[in-house]
Amino acid sequence: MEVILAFGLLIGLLIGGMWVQFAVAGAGLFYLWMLKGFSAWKALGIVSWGASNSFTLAAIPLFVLMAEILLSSGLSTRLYNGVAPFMRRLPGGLLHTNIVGSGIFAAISGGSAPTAAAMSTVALPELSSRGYNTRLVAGSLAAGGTLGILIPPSITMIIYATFTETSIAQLFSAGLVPGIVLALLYMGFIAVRVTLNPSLAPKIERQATAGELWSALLDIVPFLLLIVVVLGSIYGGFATPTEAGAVGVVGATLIAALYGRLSKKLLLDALDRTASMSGNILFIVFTSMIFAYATALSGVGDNLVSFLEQAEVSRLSFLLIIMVVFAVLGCFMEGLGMIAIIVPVIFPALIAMDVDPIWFGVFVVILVELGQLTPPLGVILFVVASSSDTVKVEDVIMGTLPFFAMILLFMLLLIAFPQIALFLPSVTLG
Amino acid sequence: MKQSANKLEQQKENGPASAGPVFDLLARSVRLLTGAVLVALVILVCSEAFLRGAFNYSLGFAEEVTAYGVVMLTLFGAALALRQGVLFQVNILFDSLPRRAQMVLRCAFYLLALAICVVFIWKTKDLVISSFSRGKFAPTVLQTPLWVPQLLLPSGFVFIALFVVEKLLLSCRNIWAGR
Repeated sequence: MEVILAFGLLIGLLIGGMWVQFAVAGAGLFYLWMLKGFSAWKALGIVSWGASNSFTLAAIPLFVLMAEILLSSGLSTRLYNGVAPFMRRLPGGLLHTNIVGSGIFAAISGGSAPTAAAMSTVALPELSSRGYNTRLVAGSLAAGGTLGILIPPSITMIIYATFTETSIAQLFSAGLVPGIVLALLYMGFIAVRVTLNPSLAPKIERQATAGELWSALLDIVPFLLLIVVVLGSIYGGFATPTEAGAVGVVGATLIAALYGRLSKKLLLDALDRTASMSGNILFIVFTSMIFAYATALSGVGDNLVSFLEQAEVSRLSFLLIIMVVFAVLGCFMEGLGMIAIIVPVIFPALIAMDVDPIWFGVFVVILVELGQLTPPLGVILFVVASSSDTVKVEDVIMGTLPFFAMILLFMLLLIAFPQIALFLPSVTLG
Repeated sequence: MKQSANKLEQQKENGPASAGPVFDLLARSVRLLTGAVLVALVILVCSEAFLRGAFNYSLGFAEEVTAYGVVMLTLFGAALALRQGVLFQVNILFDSLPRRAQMVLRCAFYLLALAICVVFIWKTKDLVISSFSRGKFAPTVLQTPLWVPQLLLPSGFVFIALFVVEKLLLSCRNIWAGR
């Protein structure tokens, strides 16, 4: 009963327009009070300390800062122009640049919004003016943007790891292959769609010369080096994700300096935005830890295990139920909050059902991806739409629909073949 | 989110809405502090990674101090995000309400947020006093008296509460001015 009231209050406050963090904290305090009266608040101090005093969580501000430096130096244009000549030959031409560019940017940023913003600001006005179908351009950018949280480094995965005590390195490793497969699926779809309907993209007559390809490669190399250093150090076991984030910040600063974009103002702006963005994310984790403390105290996770056992719910049915719950909650709640609130409740049931926590981490991140493409809270839809004055949110939504269906299909594929996610961690990290 | 992006763009031009120079000064101090902590984190964590990788030597205190930095960034960063109006929020229903109802609801939320801050200030203050009176130390190389970094918790919530008060003041001014 208490859990229903607590979740009811949480959803009520969220729909009403309360700040998500305070809605979670308020519902958490109310939940604790219902369970054990005001005496349950006695542990708030020590729970607060445990919720924030974390070396692992330091990776979040560091990855945010790395992406902010690259984003504010305007280097996404260089990355885009570097990838473009290699994609010209494919049916759909520059539309593939949206996906590959997003994939590369995803590997140097921890989130989807910066990835979508980095590519959209460059590609949306450019491709629309060249005669590409606006909806397909917007859809490919939105879909490409979601790769930001699947392809490591991923802030969403760090938060999942914090609540489930799983290895961030293993999660980062598990996200890579699904991210690449999903990107290839997107590209395959674009190629087929444009082949069937050539009016969606202009035909590119002139292919890039060897000189142009060489010059383009030079534009991408610093980004690829940064990816190798950041991800290579994690996969190779040389650095923790936090250390890789710090090294990434230095690398991003060097790249900005290399291209003559580094300035005092750029760094101060990046620090300012990182502080508020990190505070926003870390404060959600903080308040969700209070809520998770209440759910642990109530034993709701164990009750769920007993209920599922009695009801003889199969593993597949449970996963499908989780997909529906995330889809519904996604209408009121931001992705990170959803993970922080729901995962601690369902995690004991997942373990009881023998679901691999690393695999589930990838699964849940893709669920959050779907949420980012679903109105009314689809963050990516708004990021892409705000990149151009001529593109409406409705265009982005319509353009995103086929990609949305592909993500759903991919999730079923992931359920059927868990090795898509689990193969790489077993090879690289044992 | 689009609203948040627009807000950030507007703030680049004008800065966030202010209830007075005291709040501007507080915000500037928080920005300075969080910026300094971020830079310190990068230097500290990089140095640790470099020394361990190159010389197989560890500073021994990097993890501990970095974690204290996270405590600071969590609460002071949240205070900054709150003041800049970019804390996550779902506005669909709120935006469809009549203006008067929006004002009342907004004030109610500010008061609730303030009450939550007071609970956390009170409880985290108890933690600091408990650590101080029991002489608790971190079981690390630095053996930091725990009450020192733990002070970040109540002080962070004080800053959050102050910026909630600022929002409340701005709302009250709007109501009085009939806007």
